[in-house]
Amino acid sequence: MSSLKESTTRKSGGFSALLKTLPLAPFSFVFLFFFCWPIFQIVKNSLDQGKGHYGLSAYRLMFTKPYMHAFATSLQLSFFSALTAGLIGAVVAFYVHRSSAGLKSTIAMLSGVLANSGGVPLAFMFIAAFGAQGGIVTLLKKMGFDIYGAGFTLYSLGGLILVYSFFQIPLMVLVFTPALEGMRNEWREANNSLGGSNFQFIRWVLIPVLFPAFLASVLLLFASAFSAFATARALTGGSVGLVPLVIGSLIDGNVITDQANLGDALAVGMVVVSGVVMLFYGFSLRWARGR
Amino acid sequence: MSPKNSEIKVSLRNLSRHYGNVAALHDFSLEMTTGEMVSLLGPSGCGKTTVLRILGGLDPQHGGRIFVDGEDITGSTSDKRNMGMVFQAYSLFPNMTVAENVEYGLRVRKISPEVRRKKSMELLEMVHLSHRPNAYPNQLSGGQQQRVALARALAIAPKVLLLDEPLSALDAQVRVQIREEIRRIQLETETTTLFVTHDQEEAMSVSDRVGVMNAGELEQIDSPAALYNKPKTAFVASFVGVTNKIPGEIDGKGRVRVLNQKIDLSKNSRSAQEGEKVLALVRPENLEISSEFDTDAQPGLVITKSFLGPLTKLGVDLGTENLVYINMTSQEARKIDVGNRVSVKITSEELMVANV
Repeated sequence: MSSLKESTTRKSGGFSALLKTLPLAPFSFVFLFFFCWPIFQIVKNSLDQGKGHYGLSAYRLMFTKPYMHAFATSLQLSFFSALTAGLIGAVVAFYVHRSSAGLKSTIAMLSGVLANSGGVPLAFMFIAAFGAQGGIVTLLKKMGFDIYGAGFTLYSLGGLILVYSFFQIPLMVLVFTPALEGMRNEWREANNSLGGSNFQFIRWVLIPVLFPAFLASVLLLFASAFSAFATARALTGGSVGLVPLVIGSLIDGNVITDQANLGDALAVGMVVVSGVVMLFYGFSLRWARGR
Repeated sequence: MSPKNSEIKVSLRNLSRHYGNVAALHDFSLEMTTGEMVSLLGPSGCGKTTVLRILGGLDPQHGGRIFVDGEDITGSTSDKRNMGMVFQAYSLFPNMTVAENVEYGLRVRKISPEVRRKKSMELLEMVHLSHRPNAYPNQLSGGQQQRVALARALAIAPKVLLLDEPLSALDAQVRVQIREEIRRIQLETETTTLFVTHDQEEAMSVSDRVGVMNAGELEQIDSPAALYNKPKTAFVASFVGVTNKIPGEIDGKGRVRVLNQKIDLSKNSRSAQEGEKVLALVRPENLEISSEFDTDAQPGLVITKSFLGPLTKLGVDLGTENLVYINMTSQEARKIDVGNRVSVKITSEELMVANV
């Protein structure tokens, strides 16, 4: 009798546990089918050498110079654009945070729009302004500043960093502002009443407190730049070798026989880079909290 | 509860501050002696926090001067004033441990790490937190965080300790415990302390003197007992403690006719014209209740009865707009129940009055 009761209790306990996890079902579905499944597919396809054979030939090819160069260029672009936009965006966010409520909401709205205005229109906008015959370039030339003569070109890594900043700075403002909103005025006042200078407050309190959020925001910018495709494609037409552009060209059909799985291998490489970035983020966060 | 030393430590002279056209502080003066604990009490927006922030150098004043130890510090910035401050809440640096927070002011002063650690451990001992020097603020309860904030403020041996409603975010039981600790430590360290609160029990229980503020002005500053028993203004009488406001009228001899009695006006009360309608301010303990009929008393009906331990509070309907509350010993109150007809009489010899 008692074992029957126990079994009923266990059953009802199991049912209530199932009910509790039910709200997670949509998330689990999305996670499985839009995250795990595609990763599984690209890993599987990257190993597929055709005719039922599996091997590492695509990875061997991936580790050759042209593709490693694409990774190096992508990493360079992501790092410098994230850092540039991160620093500028953090300063902008700081001043926005200290401004009036009206200006704050206007900047937030503008940032929301600009952060999502990448792609082909953005590339053409920059070509019109900063291309070899662009409006601003012509204007600067008339004023005696020939930036193309000085070595600048929009269709280079430097040009891409400039264009990426256009949507990455607003993105930084959007994601970093909540961290600034969490800063308490009492910390600054406590620092002052304890005899601390503004510099000491910035060095010992402000930077350590904001560092994890800054790092997280910069890593988000890094990921955004690392995976950006349309802007770079429209701007450079593939003249700057970036991993997403290489994958794109492989998918588009410029595939040499027996290298169909190379695009998948490169995609796996991107997943690995993102994973390493996330690991680095985790370690940095722990370091920032544990000091 | 008297101050240790009659030497003037802090002198605030004719301070004023306004926000736009609103005067937050008007001609405010206050002197504090060495080792004294003064509380500023008053309703929200009365200017008490403004005084504390001006003294701490966190807000500027628009008029008046500030002296500490006889030195004019009016123009000096907060980091030069050497005043420890405990805020309402959330003021600990979240990236630092308890010990690092306590040591912060010493670190700023370039004291060696060994001396800093020794001092912080002494202070943590004092606030009963020596077992948690390596905890982070988010690992502590609200009460523990405020203890750390107190230790941090005391670490710099401040000239004046400023407490800005430090207990308001804590639950009732912890609040009582911490306020007693604050007082113990304040007496131990003989630190001159300005305590801002809107909780009168808090102010009355720990302070040498309490200043009651209203609309940017100091209405009265006195010992807690004097403030309660001899209020100098109607505002103080009605703000401090429980006060019944009973309708009355001024007679030809300048007395108040209230509850069938004629009682002298208090010396501190405002002047009133004959026939003027007023509200007599009467403490619950200055009312006597009897179940027997008395021609000199006002008949009424007991509506509520609240047991408060040694005392019982009765709410009596005397035909006035509000119930009149009377405190009596619970022993005596056993004879009276809700629904009983009673007679109520004022026992004080003089009364304060307020406008109707």
